[in-house]
Amino acid sequence: MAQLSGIASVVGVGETDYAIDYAAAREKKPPTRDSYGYAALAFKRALHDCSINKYDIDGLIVGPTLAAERTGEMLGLNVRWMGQGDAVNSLMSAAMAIHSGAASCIALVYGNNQRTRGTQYGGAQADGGDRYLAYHYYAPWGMTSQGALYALMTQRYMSLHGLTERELGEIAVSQRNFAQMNPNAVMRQSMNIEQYLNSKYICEPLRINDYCLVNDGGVALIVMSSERAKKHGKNAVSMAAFGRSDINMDATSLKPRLVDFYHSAHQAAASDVFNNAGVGPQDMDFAQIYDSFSAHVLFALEGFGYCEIGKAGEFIANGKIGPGGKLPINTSGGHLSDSYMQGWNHQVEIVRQLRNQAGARQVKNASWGHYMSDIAGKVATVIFRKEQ
Amino acid sequence: MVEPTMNRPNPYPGLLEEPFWEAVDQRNLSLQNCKSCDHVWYPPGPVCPECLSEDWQFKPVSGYGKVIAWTVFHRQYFPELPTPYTIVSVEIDEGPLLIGGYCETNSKNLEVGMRVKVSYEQATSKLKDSWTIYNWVPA
Repeated sequence: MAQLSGIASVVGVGETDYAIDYAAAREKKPPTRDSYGYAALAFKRALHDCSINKYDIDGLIVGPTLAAERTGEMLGLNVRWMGQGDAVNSLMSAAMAIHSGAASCIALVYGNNQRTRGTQYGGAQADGGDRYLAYHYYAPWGMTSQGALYALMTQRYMSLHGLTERELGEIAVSQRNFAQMNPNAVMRQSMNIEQYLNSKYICEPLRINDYCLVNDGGVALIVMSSERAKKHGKNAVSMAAFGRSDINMDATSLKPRLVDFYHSAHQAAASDVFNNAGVGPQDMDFAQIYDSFSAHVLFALEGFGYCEIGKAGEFIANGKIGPGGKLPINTSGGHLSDSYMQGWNHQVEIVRQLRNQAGARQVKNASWGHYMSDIAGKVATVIFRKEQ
Repeated sequence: MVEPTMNRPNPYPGLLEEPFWEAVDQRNLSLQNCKSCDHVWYPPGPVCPECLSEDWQFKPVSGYGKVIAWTVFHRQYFPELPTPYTIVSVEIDEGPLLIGGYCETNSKNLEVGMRVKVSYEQATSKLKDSWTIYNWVPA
């Protein structure tokens, strides 16, 4: 995907009020927005962020929880081109659309009322089971939920490499430390390692604090060609390179997950993204890793070459991925402590860090940010660069 | 030990799931085996995922394998299945990975690579009065 390197930039970002909406949902207040309502608010904020008129938008990509037509109808958008996808794949699609000339100014819109709607991620009505058979195929044994699949991976990892539960807890604690510096994060109360170790198991060895939040919200991003973005203003952040590699063979049997930890796909995508950006892991100032579960961080760090296989425990130890650490990871608090916007809020956080707009949690002199995602072995990655 | 007869969620429905579960009912766990290239695969599918041949058969497997990973469920997801319970992933000697329950709630005696063998158990569900499911016990 070398042709997509450095051609497209994010110029506008918008998010909804995660902490406020989560508190309202906990208090059982009647919901005031649904998925579309959250998407609309995020979209308005993204337009405002980059001072763009909605009639400049000629492309629309929606997240998996929204219908494209209804989203465009709701926002009053007729466009030249539409698409649908998860966060990083939507950014990749936007770059492809810009490269091909299909569209020139693209809105990426996500909204999800998963908490107030009562979305289930395990059991008979497990969300995503229509796309990933393993999420409900093993129901007769009571084997369900994405969390259980990551629990199996984590257990095997611990047995093979000697990682302890205390060492695993570093991820959740580091991300909570970041969330405490993010006024919009859902989980801002402090959490130390002892509190982590005293929290309950869901699927052992994963505890509730290894699981992502289930909260309502929306995210929007505005993408245009980097050339146009430079003329438009100072707040653009360039997408330096993409990488992708999808494992499907033996997916339901869990072989690529449990035997390979998805590393073959990580390595293929890493090779693409680093070669096309002309940088390596050592050049990254911070990283965002898709973290529906804490253990994603271990597998991505090893697969993308940040450390040797089996050495992630050392890599993350003693605050090295937390605030002020060697490689800060999930600097908004991530899906564990900021908001579970299925990879979308990670993109906003990268843009904020590279614009030097991240407040108390700002990574000093941040020029490069790396996003890594491996949802069910569909590995997708993007490196962002501060606009020169 | 797992209860001798348990109410369980129904198996996933499908044309090719039927012969799979019929073999389990006969206590003769069988997987699809390609007559063209000898590949063995799971879960069931319409063609050999290696050579795309439709010329395959359900063939009994040895019922032995080694533990790949396990997890203990503490959160209850199905009303029929009280927690805690242990789930194991087993690489059978023929290659594919299968899921199943482990005979003990306690996972303390499990080890990666440990030899296990298949064990059959009578079950009921909302749709069926009596059917058979398989689990794993130390070999």
